Amino acid sequence: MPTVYNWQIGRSMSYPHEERHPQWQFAFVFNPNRCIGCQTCTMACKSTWTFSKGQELMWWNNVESKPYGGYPQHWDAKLLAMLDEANPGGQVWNPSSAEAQAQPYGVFEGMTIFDAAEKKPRPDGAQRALGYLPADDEWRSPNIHEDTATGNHFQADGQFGGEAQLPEHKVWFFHLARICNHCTYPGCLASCPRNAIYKRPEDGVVLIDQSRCRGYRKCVEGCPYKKSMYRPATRTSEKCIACYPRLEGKDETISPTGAPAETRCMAACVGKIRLQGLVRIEEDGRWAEDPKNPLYYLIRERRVALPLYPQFGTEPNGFYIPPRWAPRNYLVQMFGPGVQHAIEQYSCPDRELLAVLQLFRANRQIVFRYEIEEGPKVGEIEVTMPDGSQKTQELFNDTVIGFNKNNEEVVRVTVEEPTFERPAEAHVNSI
Amino acid sequence: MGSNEGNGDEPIAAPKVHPATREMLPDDPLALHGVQLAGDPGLMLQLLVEEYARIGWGAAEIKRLALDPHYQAFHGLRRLYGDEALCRRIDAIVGRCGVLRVKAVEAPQRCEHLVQLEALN
Repeated sequence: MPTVYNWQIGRSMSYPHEERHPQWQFAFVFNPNRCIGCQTCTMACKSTWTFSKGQELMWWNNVESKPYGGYPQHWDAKLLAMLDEANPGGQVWNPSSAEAQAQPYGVFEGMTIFDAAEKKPRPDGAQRALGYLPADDEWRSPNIHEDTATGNHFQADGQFGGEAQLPEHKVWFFHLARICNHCTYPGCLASCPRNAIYKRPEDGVVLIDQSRCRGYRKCVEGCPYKKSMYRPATRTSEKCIACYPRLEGKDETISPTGAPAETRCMAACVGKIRLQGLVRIEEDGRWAEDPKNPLYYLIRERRVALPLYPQFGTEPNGFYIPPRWAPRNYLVQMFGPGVQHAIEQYSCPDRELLAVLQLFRANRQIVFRYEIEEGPKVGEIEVTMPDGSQKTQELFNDTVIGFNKNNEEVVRVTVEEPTFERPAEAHVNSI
Repeated sequence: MGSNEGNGDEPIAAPKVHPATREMLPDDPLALHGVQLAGDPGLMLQLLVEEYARIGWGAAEIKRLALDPHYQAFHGLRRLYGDEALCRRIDAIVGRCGVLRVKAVEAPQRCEHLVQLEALN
C-alpha cells in the first residue's frame, strides 16, 4: 500500500491510493458548546437532498447527543472497540512531539483503520479500511433514547406531557452535529471496489459517481463516520455533496457575483455554531499559510478547533471546539490530545479570537479573509476557566469584517458594551 | 401465498406486540446498555448559560429554553434542579458574566436581473 502523510496524526500512514491533493479543501468548524440540538440543520438538509423514496432513513446531516446517542447507533463506540481489538492497548498518542505545523497534536502511535486492515486482513482479503456494516435497525432511530419526545399530550402549561418512560442517566451531555467530513484520505473512497468515489480537485468535496456505483456498500462499511448511506430504491450509495452548487457560487440570489456560499445546513443554523470555508492546499498537502482565513486561524493558528476522531486516520476536514463541561478523557478520545489547549483558548478568548468567533453564521457567503478594526475597551465580564475558576475578560469595541472570495466585503460584526442583569432584590435602591 | 404462512390456518410469524406494550427483555435491542460517565451537571449549567449569554441571550430567554422538553440538554438540568433553583442559578450566572452584544451588518446583495421585492412597492 502507498504511504501518505497525515498531519492530524503527525506521521505517514498506509492508504490504498497515491497521495494527491485538491487546490482548495472544503472544511468547517462546529461549536458544540452552544448547540441546542434544534435539528434545524438536519431538516434543512433533509428537505433539500434526501426527501425521496428510499431516503427515508437517510440523514446526511444529523445531530446526536454524546456520549450515548449516535447515528447509526453506537457507530463510534463500535469502531473504537474494533481498533482496540486489532491493537490491544496500543491506541495511544505521544503528544510530547507536538509541533505547530507538521504535528500539531503530537504523534498517534496506534493503528488507523487503514493500518488495521493492512496488518490484519479479513479472510476474504477484500477490506481496505477497518469497518463494519451497520444493521438496518441501527439506522432506523437517530439518537434513540436521547432526543425522544416524552409524550404527545399538551398539558395546561403548554408543554408536552410525560407518557413514555425513558432510561435516565446523569445529566450531562452535548450535542454533536455531524455531516460528511470530506476527508483528505476518505475511508469510503479507499473501500470502493468500483472506483466510483472521487475527490474533486477544485474543492476537495468527496462525491459518489452514481453512474459507476453498483451498491456494494463497501463505502458504508469503510467510512468510519458512517456518512455514506445505501439507498435501496436506486441500489446505490449516497452521501453529503457539500451542497456543491452553492459552493460553486451558482445560487445568484445569495451570490450575485458568483462567490462561494455556505451549505444549507450551515446557513440554517440558528444557534450560530457553524463556520464553513475553503482552505488553500499546497501540492504536498500542507495547508497554505493563510492566517487571515478564519478557518486557518481557528484550526491551525490557534488550534481551538479539533478534528473528530483523528486517530481513525482519514484526516477529516470537520473540526470541533470541544464542549467545556465534558470529562477530559472522554474528549481526548474523541478529539485527540489538543483538547486542553483548545479549551483554554476558547474559555477566555483574546481580542482577535473573540472577533473571529463572531463570524460564525454571520453571512451566507463564505468568508475567505477577515480584517479587524480595533475599538476602545467597553467592559469586562467574568468567565469560567477549565478548572472551574473565574477570570475577568476584557471586551473591546472591535469590528470584524468578512470578505468573500472576490474580496468584496460581505459582513461586519461589532462587539458592543455588554449588559448585566442583576437579581432585583439585591439592588432595590440601585440605579 | 405469502412466505410467512404455514400449511394450516396458523401463521408461522410471531404475533406482533408493540414494544411499548410489553415488558423489556434482557436481550432487547431497545434497552440502553451503557455506563454512566463522570460528569458535572453544575459545571454544564454554568458553562451553557455563559455560552448562551455570549450569543446575546438574556436570563429570560435562557430560562425559556430550559422549559422546552425538546431541548433535552437544558431541560434535563431543569428536571435535575427544579424550576426555582434553576432560575436562581441562571440569574446569578448571567448577573456575573453579562450578556455579550454584537451588531452585525450584512452587505446588501443585489442580483440585477431578478425581481427585487422593494421594487414592487
